Amino acid sequence: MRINLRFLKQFIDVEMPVVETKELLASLGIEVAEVHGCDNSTAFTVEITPNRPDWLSHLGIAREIHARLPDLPLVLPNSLDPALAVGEGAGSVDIQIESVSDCRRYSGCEIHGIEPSASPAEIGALLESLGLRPINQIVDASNMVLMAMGHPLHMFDLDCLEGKQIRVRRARPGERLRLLDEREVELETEDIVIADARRPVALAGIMGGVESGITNRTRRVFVESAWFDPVRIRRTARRLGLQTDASYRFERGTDITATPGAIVMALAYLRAWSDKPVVSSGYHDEYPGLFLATTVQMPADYPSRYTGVEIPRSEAAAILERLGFQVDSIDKKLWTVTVPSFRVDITCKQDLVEEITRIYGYNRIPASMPRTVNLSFSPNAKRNLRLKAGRHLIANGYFQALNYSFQSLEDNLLMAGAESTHTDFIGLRNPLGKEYAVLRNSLVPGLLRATAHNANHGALTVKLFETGKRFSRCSGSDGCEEEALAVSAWGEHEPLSWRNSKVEDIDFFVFRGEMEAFLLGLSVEFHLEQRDFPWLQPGCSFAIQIHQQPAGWMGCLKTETVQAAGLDKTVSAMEIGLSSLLRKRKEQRFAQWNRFPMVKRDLSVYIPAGVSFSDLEKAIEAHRPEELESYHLFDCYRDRTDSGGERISMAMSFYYRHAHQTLTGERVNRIHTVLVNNLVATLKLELRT
Amino acid sequence: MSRELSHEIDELIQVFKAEVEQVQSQQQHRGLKEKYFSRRKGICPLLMQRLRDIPPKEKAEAGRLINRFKQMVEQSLDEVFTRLEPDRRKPGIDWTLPPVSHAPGAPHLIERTRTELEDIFIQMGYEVAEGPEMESEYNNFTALNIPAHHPARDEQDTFFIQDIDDMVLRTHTSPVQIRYMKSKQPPFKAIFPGKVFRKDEPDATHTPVFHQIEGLLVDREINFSHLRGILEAFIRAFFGEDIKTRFRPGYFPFTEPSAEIDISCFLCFGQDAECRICKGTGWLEILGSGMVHPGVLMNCGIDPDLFSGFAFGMGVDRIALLRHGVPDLRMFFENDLRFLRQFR
Repeated sequence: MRINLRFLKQFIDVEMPVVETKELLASLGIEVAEVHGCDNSTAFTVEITPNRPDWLSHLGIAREIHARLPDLPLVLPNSLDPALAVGEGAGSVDIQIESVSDCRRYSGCEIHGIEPSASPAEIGALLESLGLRPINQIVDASNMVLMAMGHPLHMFDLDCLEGKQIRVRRARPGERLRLLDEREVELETEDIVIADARRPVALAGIMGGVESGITNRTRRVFVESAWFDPVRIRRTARRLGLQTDASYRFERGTDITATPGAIVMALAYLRAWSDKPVVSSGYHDEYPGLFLATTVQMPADYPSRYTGVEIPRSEAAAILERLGFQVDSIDKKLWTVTVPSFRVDITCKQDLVEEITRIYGYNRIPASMPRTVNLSFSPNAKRNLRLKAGRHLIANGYFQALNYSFQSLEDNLLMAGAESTHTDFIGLRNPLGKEYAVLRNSLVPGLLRATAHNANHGALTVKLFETGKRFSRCSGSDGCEEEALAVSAWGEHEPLSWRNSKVEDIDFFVFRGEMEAFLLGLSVEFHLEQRDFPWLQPGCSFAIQIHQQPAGWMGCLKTETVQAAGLDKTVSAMEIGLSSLLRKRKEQRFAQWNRFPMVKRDLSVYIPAGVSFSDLEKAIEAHRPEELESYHLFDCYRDRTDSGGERISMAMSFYYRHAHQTLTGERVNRIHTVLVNNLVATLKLELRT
Repeated sequence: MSRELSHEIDELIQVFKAEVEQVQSQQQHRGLKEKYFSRRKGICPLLMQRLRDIPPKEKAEAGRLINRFKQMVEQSLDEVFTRLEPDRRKPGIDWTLPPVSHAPGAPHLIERTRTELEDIFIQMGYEVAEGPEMESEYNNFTALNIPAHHPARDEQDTFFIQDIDDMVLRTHTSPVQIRYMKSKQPPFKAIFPGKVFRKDEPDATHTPVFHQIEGLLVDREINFSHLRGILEAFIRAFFGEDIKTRFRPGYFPFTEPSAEIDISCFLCFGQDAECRICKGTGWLEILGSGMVHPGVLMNCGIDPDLFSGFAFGMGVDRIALLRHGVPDLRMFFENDLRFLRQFR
């Protein structure tokens, strides 16, 4: 809304520099967003919070200033009896309200013998400074009333109202209305319309119809001044995408007692601007939803208690009265405060405290410290874990990424089985676009996107992680969300340097090593099991178990996916549910380390096709002698058999130690030979000599 | 025999004296010490070994000779040592060559800021509670005094979930306050950090996803001056001791009275009419706050006649943007290493 400072002076004679006026308004809760014009006709664009429709007028703003600066009197508009203002003479219009909840009051009158012409120049200029277009004195008068006291009026061409009827009713199925802006709208039974004997002539509280609007041919006017149900006005306005000065006020709540005064003011403007007498008649006030003032009970000491500063009762009461409230008796322990009709936002004693404090001055409230201690307290284990995980990854060269919680359907499909469709995911009803259509089922597509972005901008290594929510459909139609940690790595492992003349890329083994160190650093027990996930390269695809339960996956993203992202090197990635990292591990107990010497024996074998290192590991586990402490693969290469076939050679060291004695060489040889024979027999290994 | 030995030792003394004069570095000193005292091949241990072959009656004399020599060598090596400058370098290796690089990554600036903000409240004894990003309309709006068709809903353009009735992406973290209040007995104090969503096309000053930290304290006899006390303490801790604060009336459906809190501009201190961040006003809007509306307390099963409290909220992205001079909010979501690397 705009306020013209010169027009404001008609309601309160405030005289101060623009900067100070801005500060004054801000301290009252009225934010000045923009200043227009020069000193002579300065106007402010003010941002009015939705709870204060009474501030959508110059009078409302003036009232606030008066409350803060009581020495400046508030000039109220003429409160003439509308019947007197309108004058004698019965009207020809028959007004009926169908439902009192839709329209609690409908006042109106007729104006005769008026010819539309331009308003005085200074009125035109004033309206323009308020962002309104001057049209003719009839329309301008209604706009002046709107700006002065905030009540929307509507002006009908009386001769276009068929049957001289005003019916405030719901629209009927199939009814249409061409509005003043020439838009034709289809009406629904939820909409309140003003109809004449035949058809809707206005969309109540929002916009009039073009057929009954004021034109140059208009000679007789019907003035509407009404109160409409805020929720209904808002629904219709939203549905039709129409926000007008009228609907903006009606949907926030207008002053039901103001309808006659608005008519009086409009007539006063028209008379003041016209050389000829303006004839009016037929004042009619259909008022089925009689106003009952709200009262609020408040202990007299409550404002002081609730603010923490001693505000004298007399001062509190005076503030309320300046704002239009009535306090029954200041001496009573419990005040009964009557709320003025224009304050639709006040319902409880806390509201009254805000009123008193606002005018008293927020910055006069001192600071003090509460002594509150939580009755029960639980540390946030997830936060601690997130920070700990982040620190570890960051120390190892990973950057934390941040992505939206939604992404494209294609991104979700990337991280799902081939048989998945959009119904497996949670979509947004009103997304910003296709690339943000569904809630993400995985954090990895975001990391992949970021990897490609950085690779395109010249990065040689991109190591990223993100923690955040991922979403899935669970139990049929419901949505579930879970916090996950995703890590990805692409590019060079160690850059070219004076020690390193050959650049190695981060391959799966490097990545897995880093991730295993990371998991160990978080003190979780984990286990990797080769298993195919649809988004990973077959084989280079592992399920991660943490504390014997499924936790996530690790592997290399499918080549097609990586290539589609424009990347030419492997992208290794891992994603795990954060809660799996929170699972309690068994309590750790001290164990005495072995003090006896260790003996090492090596084994070199050819592995037949189809046997993996993990098979070898399983076989070792199956035949593990108790003296075997650990083993270690120190060589692995491919070569050709004499017949030209391919074979894999592996060389391992086995470390033996006895718990209670020193092992003799002879004894170790015996143990080792048994193990080797078992391995050879189980896996058909061929010993290399 | 001993004469022979004595002669030999005399020669050794000459050699040693010449050698010790040459010593210029600790390195050389170590070498010389090694030559004379190395357990296996050192000259002195070897001399001692030869005592075995010396006839018994000459042994004592020979032993004395050797010992005297040993003491002399030791003493003069010690003397030389004290004169020496400490070792600077070992010849042959340039120790100033660059190390094997292990460049660390970095936390995201938003997360780093969020952690810093949280830490202040944690140290004031606040719990950190989190909640779902997908929320019911009830928790996100209705329970917070924002009924359907309330104009306040316009101010938070909302993403709705498809096919699940009455579910939205939360527009603020306030629904976590609702969940928290419903599950706890006052007194309590907690903060509620997290992602929030508003349907805004991304531009320099808007992103459809951003981050908030809200806070809440409920106890008996909590008043507006307590709100001021806590938030001013927080502002001093985070922005600095010399930062001024200003409280302005504001509006939130879930607090009454409500206050907007501005801090003095930490870039220009109100001295620059063209200031990039405060636009010359001298003030930065940083926090929304207020006394928890009695209706909200009641919605959560807390008796507003017994308890009162205050709540506040701030935008992490905005604070990070202002504090670090980031020109465009979208940069927070680009994950460009050139950006991320700056905030290690």
